[in-house]
Amino acid sequence: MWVKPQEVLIANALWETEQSTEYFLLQHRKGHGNSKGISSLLVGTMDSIFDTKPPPFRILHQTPHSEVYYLIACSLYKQDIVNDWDWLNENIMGTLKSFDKEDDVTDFVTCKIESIIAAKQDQVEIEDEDTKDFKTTSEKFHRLFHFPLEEKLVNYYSCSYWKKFPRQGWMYLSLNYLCFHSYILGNDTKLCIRWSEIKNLEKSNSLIFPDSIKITTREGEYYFNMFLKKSETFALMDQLIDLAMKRLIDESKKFNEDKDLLYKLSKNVPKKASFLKRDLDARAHSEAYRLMFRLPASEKLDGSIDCTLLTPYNKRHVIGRLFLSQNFICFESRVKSLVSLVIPLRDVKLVEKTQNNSSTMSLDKAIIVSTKNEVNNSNFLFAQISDRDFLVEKLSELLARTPHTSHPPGLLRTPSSTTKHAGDAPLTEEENIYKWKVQPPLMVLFPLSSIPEVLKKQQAKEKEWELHFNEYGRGISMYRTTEVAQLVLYGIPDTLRMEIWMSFSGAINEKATHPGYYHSLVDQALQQRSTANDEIERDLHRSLPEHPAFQNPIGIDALRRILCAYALRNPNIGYCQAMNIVASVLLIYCSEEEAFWLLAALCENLLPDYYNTRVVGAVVDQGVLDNLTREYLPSLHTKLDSLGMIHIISLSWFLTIFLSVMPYESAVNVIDCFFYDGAKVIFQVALMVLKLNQEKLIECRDEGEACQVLANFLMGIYNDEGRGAVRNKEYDKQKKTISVKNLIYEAYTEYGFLTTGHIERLRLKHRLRVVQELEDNSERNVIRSVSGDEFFTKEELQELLSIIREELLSQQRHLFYKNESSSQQPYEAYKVDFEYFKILFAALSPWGKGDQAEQLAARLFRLLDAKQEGFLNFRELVTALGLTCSVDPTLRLTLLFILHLPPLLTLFDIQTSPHFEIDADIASDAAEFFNNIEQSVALDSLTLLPESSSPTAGGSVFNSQLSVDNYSNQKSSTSSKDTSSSSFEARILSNLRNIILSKESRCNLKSLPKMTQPYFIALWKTLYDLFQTQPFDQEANDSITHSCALLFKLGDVGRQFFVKREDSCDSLGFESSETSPDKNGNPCIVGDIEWYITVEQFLASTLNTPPFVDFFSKKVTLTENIESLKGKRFHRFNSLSVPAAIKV
Amino acid sequence: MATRKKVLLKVIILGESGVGKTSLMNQYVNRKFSNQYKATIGADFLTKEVQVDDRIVTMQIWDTAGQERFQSLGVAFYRGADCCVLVFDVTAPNTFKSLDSWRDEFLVQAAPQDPENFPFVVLGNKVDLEPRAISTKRAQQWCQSKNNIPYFETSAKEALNVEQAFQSIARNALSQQNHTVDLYSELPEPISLTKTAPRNNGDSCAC
Ligand SMILES: Nc1nc2c(ncn2[C@@H]2O[C@H](COP(=O)(O)OP(=O)(O)OP(=O)(O)O)[C@@H](O)[C@H]2O)c(=O)[nH]1
Ligand SMILES: [Mg+2]
Repeated sequence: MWVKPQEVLIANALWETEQSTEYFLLQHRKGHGNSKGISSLLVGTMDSIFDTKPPPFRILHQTPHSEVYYLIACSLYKQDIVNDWDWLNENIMGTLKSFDKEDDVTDFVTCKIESIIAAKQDQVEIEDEDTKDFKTTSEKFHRLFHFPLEEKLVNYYSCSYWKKFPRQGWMYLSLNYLCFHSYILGNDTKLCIRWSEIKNLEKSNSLIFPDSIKITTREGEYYFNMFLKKSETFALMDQLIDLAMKRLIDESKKFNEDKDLLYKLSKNVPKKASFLKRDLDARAHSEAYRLMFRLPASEKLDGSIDCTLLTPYNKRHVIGRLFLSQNFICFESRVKSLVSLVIPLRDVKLVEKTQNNSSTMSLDKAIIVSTKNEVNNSNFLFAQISDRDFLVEKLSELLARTPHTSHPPGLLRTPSSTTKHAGDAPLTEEENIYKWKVQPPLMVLFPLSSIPEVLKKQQAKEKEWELHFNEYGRGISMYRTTEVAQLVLYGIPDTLRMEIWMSFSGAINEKATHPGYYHSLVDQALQQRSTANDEIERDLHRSLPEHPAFQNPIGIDALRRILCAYALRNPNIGYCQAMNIVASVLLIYCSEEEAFWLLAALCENLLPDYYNTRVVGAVVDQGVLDNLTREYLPSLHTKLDSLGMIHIISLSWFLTIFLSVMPYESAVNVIDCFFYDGAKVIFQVALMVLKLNQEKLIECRDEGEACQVLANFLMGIYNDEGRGAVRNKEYDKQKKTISVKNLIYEAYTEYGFLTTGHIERLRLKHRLRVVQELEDNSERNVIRSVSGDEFFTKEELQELLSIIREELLSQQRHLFYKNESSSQQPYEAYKVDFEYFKILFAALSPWGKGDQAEQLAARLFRLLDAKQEGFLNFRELVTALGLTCSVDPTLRLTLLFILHLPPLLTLFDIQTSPHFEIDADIASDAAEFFNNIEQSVALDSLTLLPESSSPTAGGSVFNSQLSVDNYSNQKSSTSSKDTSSSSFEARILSNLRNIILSKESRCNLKSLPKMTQPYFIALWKTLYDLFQTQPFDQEANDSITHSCALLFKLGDVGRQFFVKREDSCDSLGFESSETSPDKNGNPCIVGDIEWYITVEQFLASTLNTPPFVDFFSKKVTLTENIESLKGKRFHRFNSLSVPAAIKV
Repeated sequence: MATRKKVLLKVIILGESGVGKTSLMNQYVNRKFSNQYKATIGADFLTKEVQVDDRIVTMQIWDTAGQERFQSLGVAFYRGADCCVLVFDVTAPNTFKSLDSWRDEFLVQAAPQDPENFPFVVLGNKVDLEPRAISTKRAQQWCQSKNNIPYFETSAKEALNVEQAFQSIARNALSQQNHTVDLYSELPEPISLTKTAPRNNGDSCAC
């Protein structure tokens, strides 16, 4: 038993050391243990006299050069103390060697022991849902890491984190982050890793980091060890990472707490740490349950109970477990794959308790479940249910809520097709193509001539199945035994494929609960124009052209309908090539609606994420196959690896389940097994194909040759029992390699040990890698697409991109991934809003430091937001920063000039902003000037002005606002009447933007408008403001003042020439400038005698002022600033609205 | 001479789905057009012996899947390519516009030593169809801007210009090999070269 470390002064009196290491002593009290000397007798006596009786075994801690001993553990029993001792040796000793100072060792040890004691106490207390302790910890977690409350803590564990030396502390696992905090050695260590950043998670056991959990992220490696509950911690981490990855792959899988779980009906749910943790566990169980019995995605496991099932075919009582969820009763035998059963509650007619029959034990506490469906009626008897009353009660509760098949359920998801009917589309003559009816299996409509021999074989098989049905039942609730597995393995007869596929894949459940769904989906899908529909159209004739059904509109139309309907159902997938091939084969054997539901089951449950826009699932499975090959065919793997083969071949194998690489009538046998056994079949067959060609493949010199070997083999796989066997005139000429029956049989014999669980674990591991690779890939593309602008180095861009990514993820705003429009540039996936731009600008730009930083940022943001959407994409952002950080001084000063021109800066801003304390003179000048505009505007084009425009209102309506939010609000509220003026403004902005962005900006300078006095003063204030952030320097100050004075004089000179009124605006390309004057008060159009300077003058003067040149030519690199911004990240998690870096 | 040893030319055909990559390859290798080809999933390949000047070489032609979601997948076999054929459909403007990204993606994935001079050939297919959306001039202009890529207008259906185009492809591929073989033989692992291969910038920032 560990005890709170306490000092003991004399270590050896009365105690005898049994074992010792550098830092620890294991002792027993004299008088105990083995030695029976005189002194030990004495101690025994003393103990009884003084009645101190300390526990007779203890462990002390001491460092070699210290006099002080710490008692850290004691025990009444030798075995206990030895356990503790061993734990120390295994877990702590290695760690301690890495410390330099002995004091640190002692600190560490005491800390560790204390935390263990604390954890032990926690363990006792964490009982019911979110205990007080958990809540306190959760609060602490939020405080420590500055997370918003939505960031839910799932659980926390004591452990050590290694960075140079081990730091003992707490690991906090939340929905999105792994955090670690330690508090020893006066050192506050905080670590925060987003799950979605993790590349690899593994248990590792190296010499330096014994028994630890290793985490690899894009940034580095982290080691944690000395867990008290390592496997629990690891399992939870695994689960959280998987959730994060799935969210990355598929945005729609947002995590929602499942409140249902709170009201679990079942009694036997273990209570664990946090509510969330329980939620997660329940999720995992439900998922395994659904996978095992092929149930719909919404099915949640409610509970399970031990019982027996009477199996009438052999009159036995099979021991196993009964599972219950909202819509199903399932059973699985304890002996693996002996028998399993799925009973949909919608089929259940009656549940009865049997009379207790004490004479036959096996019938004790039994219930009978009677079902009825299209195929047959049956009764199932479960017995020896310990808590029968509870089960029955619950069953009746669930049954009461179950809609029965006869009357359609109310939860029907029927997309409304009425909205589309509005008379906008001229459908009249095409309308007849929307009239359709579901097709029966195409093999019925397009029978293939077949040879009598084959027909006989088919009929023999049908017989076998009939017999099987008689004995084991038919339909979804058939007793599933190894018998049926055997039958499936030999290939299902064509006539029964639909029925069997539907039950084993679980598709039948979806179809039964969604009557009418397919019909209305098709109606809606066919009337839509979409990219998916176009892609489908292109592939209709390229799906299964060898079959006569697809040389005929009947087959083609049916194929179009199911593919378009599916694309509409699942926009995450839309249409992916390969689905056409799978769908057309399904249509041959199944009626149309059945084929649709099979396709849905395949895309959503059996091959998750396979066909989505990044084909993630298939790429993951390539990794899994690679892994399996390495494990089971090592020498072949080396070869294939060197040729890069696995990646070349397997995509088509996986995406079409071999349908596109084998003759389809052979591949359907693989599909038979696939619907019965799941995706593992694909791996078994793939491995077998590789194994059978092993010798030949090893001989190959290049990947082309190897592909040829496999292609020849695969195309030669024949099925002499398929009806289509003779469809191909060349069938007999074809080189036959192996019959598909044999291939499958061998695949099961050789690799039958692969389990779904095994595959799922491997998938999880590879999913991590694949998702991160995809992210890396897309980041690389982004960098590539902006690095041509030459503002920053690739490294800098990388850093910048990574903090933006982090920001976007933490806002739970997903990256704007490439969707259907292929025209999107990679950098458009990363966008920042103004709030975050402000922060970046303040942290990274030398212009972001002064009092006016925010205003500058706002104007810069408006200037570069080309689409006026309130976001800067990554390229625009880089430009914004680049123009203030890295371009030559001329360009930077030009930008500064532009940022003080209307419509970016307005008189209204100048007048109202506290930052522009314009002296009275100028203010009245400005007012007068403004009146002038007002008059001339009123004269020239009254119509363009809003009715209520007073001088100031006119300014405020049209002129830019500081906050982008206001700006966009304003934009959206502008009536159509004003669009001309806002587009006019947009034109000016885009002109200004072009000037600053064009490579030959120098030539374009002439087209920049001149600047009048109020604006110039504002500009000058900004300059002063910028310099305020620099260390004070009198000389610099003087030269700035001098430069300012000079410019003022120049402006006056301009006034004298202005009478001539060369119209500088023409050069900007405003065709309309004469007729519709700039309502932003652009002074170059109106007013007769005006003070102004040109950008050339401004540049000439400032570029002759050394402090300016110094300041504006300093090349600012992002790397350092980004580093410090990262450090601050913790401080602004929940303060987006109050950015820390900017004084407001 | 080292060049005599490698008589295998590796050619990759890229382009949007449905432009006729598979049809072109089959027209060239098997001299027939069929509307019975399936959409290509993953990758596929055919070989053909060809005579270039006085030499017999084996051309290994890799046909790829065109749908966008496959664009960056399964590109392991890009490496070591001797020539890349970019195909578009002269009646479908989008297929032309995407040539840029196919070319970029290829250069990134294949990482040839000298990306500037890597041999590409562009084929404008389906010239038998009306109406045309991309004029010869427009296509030629693009090809010129990319370091003078040879351009052919073909029809896989009518077997128009297919033979000539592939002759040119073979020739270009061969020249690439003559060019690089020495370098490859000095460095046993060609892949390691690619890391330092410079990328030209400025070709991908259309606004
Ligand atoms: N009229 C005409 N049709 C062609 C020509 N070449 C191909 N096609 C047709 O265009 C369609 C697509 O041809 P494929 O060769 O399969 O296209 P692909 O580029 O291989 O397409 P993916 O495999 O999906 O990437 C088929 O229906 C062909 O019959 C041509 O030169 N003229
Ligand atoms: Mg193809």
